[in-house]
This record gives sequence, C-alpha cells and structure tokens, in this order.
Amino acid sequence: MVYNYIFIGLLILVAAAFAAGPLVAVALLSPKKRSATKSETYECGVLTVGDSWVKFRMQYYLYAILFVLFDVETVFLYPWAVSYGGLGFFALIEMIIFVVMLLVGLAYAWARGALRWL
Amino acid sequence: MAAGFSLQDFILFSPVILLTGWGLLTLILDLTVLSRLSDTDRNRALGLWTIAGLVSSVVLCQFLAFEYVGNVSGQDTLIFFDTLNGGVLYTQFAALVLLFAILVTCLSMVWNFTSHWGEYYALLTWSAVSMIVLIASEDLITLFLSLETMTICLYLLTAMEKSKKRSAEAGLKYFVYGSVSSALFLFGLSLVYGQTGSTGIDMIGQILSGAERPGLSGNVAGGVAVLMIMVGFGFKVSAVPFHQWAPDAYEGAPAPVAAWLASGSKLASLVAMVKVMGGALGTWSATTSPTSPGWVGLLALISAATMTYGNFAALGQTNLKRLLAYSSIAHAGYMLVGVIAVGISTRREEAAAALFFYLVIYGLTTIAGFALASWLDRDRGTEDVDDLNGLGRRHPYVGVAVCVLMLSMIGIPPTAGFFGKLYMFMEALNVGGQDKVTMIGLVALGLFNSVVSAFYYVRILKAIFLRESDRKPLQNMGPEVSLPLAVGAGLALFFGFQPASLLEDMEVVSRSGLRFAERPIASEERGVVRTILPARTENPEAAPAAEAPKP
Repeated sequence: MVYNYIFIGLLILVAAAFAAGPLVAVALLSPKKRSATKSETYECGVLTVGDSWVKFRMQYYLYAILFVLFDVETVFLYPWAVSYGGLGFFALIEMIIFVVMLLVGLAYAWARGALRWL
Repeated sequence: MAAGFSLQDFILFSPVILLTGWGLLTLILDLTVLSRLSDTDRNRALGLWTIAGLVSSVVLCQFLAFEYVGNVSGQDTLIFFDTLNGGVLYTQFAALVLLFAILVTCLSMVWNFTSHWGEYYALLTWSAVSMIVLIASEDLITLFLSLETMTICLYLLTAMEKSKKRSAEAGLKYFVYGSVSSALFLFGLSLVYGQTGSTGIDMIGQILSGAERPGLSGNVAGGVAVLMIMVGFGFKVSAVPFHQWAPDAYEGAPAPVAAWLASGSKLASLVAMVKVMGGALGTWSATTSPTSPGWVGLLALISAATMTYGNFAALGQTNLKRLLAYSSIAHAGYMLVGVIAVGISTRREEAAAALFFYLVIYGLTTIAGFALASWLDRDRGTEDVDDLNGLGRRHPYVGVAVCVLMLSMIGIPPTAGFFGKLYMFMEALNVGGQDKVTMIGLVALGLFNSVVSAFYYVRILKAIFLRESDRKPLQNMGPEVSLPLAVGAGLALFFGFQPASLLEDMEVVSRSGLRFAERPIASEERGVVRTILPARTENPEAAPAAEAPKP
C-alpha cells in the first residue's frame, strides 16, 4: 500500500528536478551581458510604443460576455438535440423557456446599446 | 413519495416562478415604457412595481399554504425529484423572505443611489427568489446553485452605488472572498458526496447514521469536508475568521442593500446551514472518541470567537452602517450557538424553532436599523452615529422606535429580542453528557457579550436623546423610511408581548420541514438508545441505490 506511493513521490521529485534543473543551470552557466536592446520586449521587429498598462475599450468585455452567452447556449443545445428523441415534448418546452430567457438577455443588451460600436 | 415531478409541483412553486418572470418584466419595463422618465420617477415606479410583484407572490404563497400544504399533516412533501421542500417550511419562510424584500424595496425608494433601477430591482427580485429556493432546497446541488445565484445577485447589488468608489470596492471585496469560499464549500460538498454516494440531504443523513462507525473519528475526508463546508457557511453568515468582508461590504453598499445582506441572505444561509449541519451531517456533530470532537467543537470555537470579536470591534465604531455590520457579526455568533443546539440538543426541533425565532426578530430589527442609515444617507450623505445627535427632540416617534429596536437587539425584556435570546440559550442547555460543559460555557459567554453589546447600542440612544444637534436637521423621513422602521419596531414589540405566536409557528415549521438524521450515540448509551430508534437500512453499503427506503 505505502509501497505504491513511493513511485508517486519519486515522480514528483523527478518532475520538480526536471523543471528546476534548466533554470539553475542557466543561472550558473550563462554569460551575463546586459544591454538596453536585450531588455526590450521584442528584440527585433517593430519598436514598442508606450508601456503595457494601457486602457482599452470596455466594449471588448461586453462582446466577450455576449459571446459566452451564446456559446453556453450552444453547449446546452447540442446534447439536448442529440437526446431529444428520448426526452419528449416537455423537453421542447423547457428548451424554449431557456432560449427565450437568453433572447430577453440579448434584447436587453441590444436596447442598452451594447451592440453599438462607438 | 415517488421521485419525479408533476403539475402540482409547478403549482406549489408558482410564487417563485412568478417572481422570476416579474424580474424579467422589470427589466423590460425599464427599457420600454419607463425609459423616458427621470431617475427619481423610474425609481418610484419600478419600486412600486416590485412591491406589487412581491406582495402578489406572498398572497399566492399563503393561498397555496392554505389550499395544498395545510391538508398535509406530518412531514413536508418534497417536490421536483425530491430536491425541494414543498411544504410548511417553504411557504412560511418564503413569506418571511418576501416580507424582508418588501421592506428593503421600500428603503430602496428613499433616494437615488444609482440610475440603473431596472437592473437593481430585477436583481433584488431574483436574489429573493434564490433565497427562497435555498431555504427550500433538499439536495446539495440545488443548495449550492441557489447559494451561488443569491450571492452573484448580491455582489452586483453591493456595487450598485456608482457615485461612490467604496461601493465598487465593497462589491469587489465581497466577490473575491465569496468566490473563494464558494469554491471551498463546493469541494467540501463533493467530499460528502464521495463518502455517501448521494446528494440528497435526508439521504446523506440516513446513510451516515447507518454506517458502521457513525461519527467522525478516524474519518479524515469527513473532517476535511466539515472544515470546508464550515468555510462556506462561515462566510455566508459572516462568522469570525471569515468575517473580514462584512464591515467593508456593509459600509460600502447602499444602505438598503446592506439591510438585505444582513437580513435575507443571513436568514437563508442559516436555514440552509441548519439543514446541512443538523440534517445531513448530524451524525458527525458530537464527540464520538477523544480524537474527534465532531463539528460541534469546531463550531463552538467559531461561535465564541464570532460573538466576542463582533461585540468588541463594534465598541469603537463611529459609522452607523459599520456598527450595524459588527453587530450583525455578533448576532451571527449567538445564532451559531443555536445551530450547535440543533446538532446535539435533546430537543432538536424546538432548538431549531428557537433559532428561527431569533433569526426573524434579528432580520426585522436589522432592516429597521438600516432604515435609519438610509435616511441619514439621503439627507446628509454620511451615516455617522453623531449624525443622529438630537434626533429624539425633533422626531420623538422615531426616537421611541429606535429605542425599542436597540433594546430588542440587546435583549431587554418587553421586546422580542429578549425572548429570542431566552429561547435559544435555554434550548442550548438541553444537552447531555460532556457537551453540557461546552454549552454552559457558550451560553455564559453569550450573556456576557450581551452586556458588552449594550454599551454600543446605548451609545446610539445617547446620541438620539442626550446630545444636542450640531448639524443641519434631517428632513421628514417619508413613508419609505418610516414603514420599515415602524414594522421593525412594531413587530419587535408585538412579539415581545406575544412571543408564543411566532414560536409556535416556527415549531410547526421545524417539526414538519426539517429532517434530522439519527443523533450520534456515545458508546456508553448506545444500547439503550438504539432500541427506540426506527429501523435503519439493513445494508449501509447498498443505501446509495435508488430503492433506498424513505421514512
């Protein structure tokens, strides 16, 4: 019983060593010559402008949330459609209620102006 | 009762279905018919519309209670695949939650703290819906789902006051704490499922008490499950180590939302806690061996820390909402004594009834307390205790009402708060064996804490009656503030003179609505008690199967 766990322990040790080994080796062996060019985000290519803490549009989030809404709807619709034969009429009503609620959500977002790209 | 569902289940649950649709209609109304109106008018119109929905749901609920539930004697029926309670427990607590919601809606109409009134009232309605489902849930999955629906609505409501940064901050803090504790809670529930193979609360209770070794001794997974579940419930009822969100969330949230957090959310969570700890995990409650104290030991520690910390931290508060937040933490500590009593008392139903009595009175007085805070918020924009200076001279009726409220919160006789504490602490002493010492200690600590709490409650009264006002006077409160205040103070006084009327009602609820698992039996008394208990499952290993018996 305990014997079996020895292998799991060994595996964890080997995995940790495998991950940490290269880092330690690099820190010990690599030559260290720092320069301004080397510390740039992209050493070659287009020059970066500004820093990474920039503001960007809230609307990306809104679109993402609306996308998730319909993604989830699809996730529920597929298994429902596959097993519809065994579920019967009641499942249809349930799914209609579900879809109508999501539609109200979409209509709400639409009426609030979430779909207008400013 | 057979598993499955019928048309009657839908009829029984129609108040909840009605409210869900009502919330959707609130959103639609806000965007169509009312979109041209000013914020104030929309607030008023949607507030009245929401109250209409809540009231019709209460009426429907009481009609159903009269028509269907009243005929059923004994245990409540379960509906929808045995996942929800469809009996007295559901109808009575639904009416209570809706009463709280109506008072909170009144408070929301006091002033314009947001412009998104459609969203606000829809979320308020839906959180009431999920609280009712949470109270009615008889299955761990339903319980977790409704708990999540409730808290997600509450996160958003907390962050609703857009003009104030601390409102968003409060919402974020509440959200971060809440989501972590929910994750741990779910992990705990999954461990319980892993041990029993069932998610039904009653079924888990039966399986655990039918196990070869009832109790927690030597059961590491069970111990971890209890710990995790305690984190979840501890967060919801704001018990110390998991209370840090409460003062910030209550202070940052608009006063009506804070009232809703303190009353409805706490009521629903504590009823769910009684069901899970007392019903499903009842067998794991008490000491079964020296190495395993059961969850009673853990909860006793949490309870003692909660009431002591809450009261002592409240002493130094100058902000009324923050003071009420710490007072609600302290009250959570007292109520956890009641939960322990439900776990190990010899009169478990009566102990639960006493706890419910306390919860109702606490909810009503707290909403009334936050009514005062809303009034200050509207007229001053701040809600310091000093803002109340000289209130008694200018508004004598308000002074009297607040006086009743504070006396009830301390627990001084002619008010209901006294009877709440009396019943709950008396029931807590109905235990036998070695737990008696723990309970006597807890009750003594509770009484000591009541004395400490008197200090800061009386400070509010001192500001109202003895200080001279040095700030600009408050305007007339209007019906939106006076109604919750009057209802809270009036009922605190009424149930102070007629405590039996509410207590008997709660006893009916707990007798028919709660299903307690067999209590764990200390080894010396095992032989005696076993004989009088109903026959258990013959083969505990086979119990998860579908044909397992029901009482």
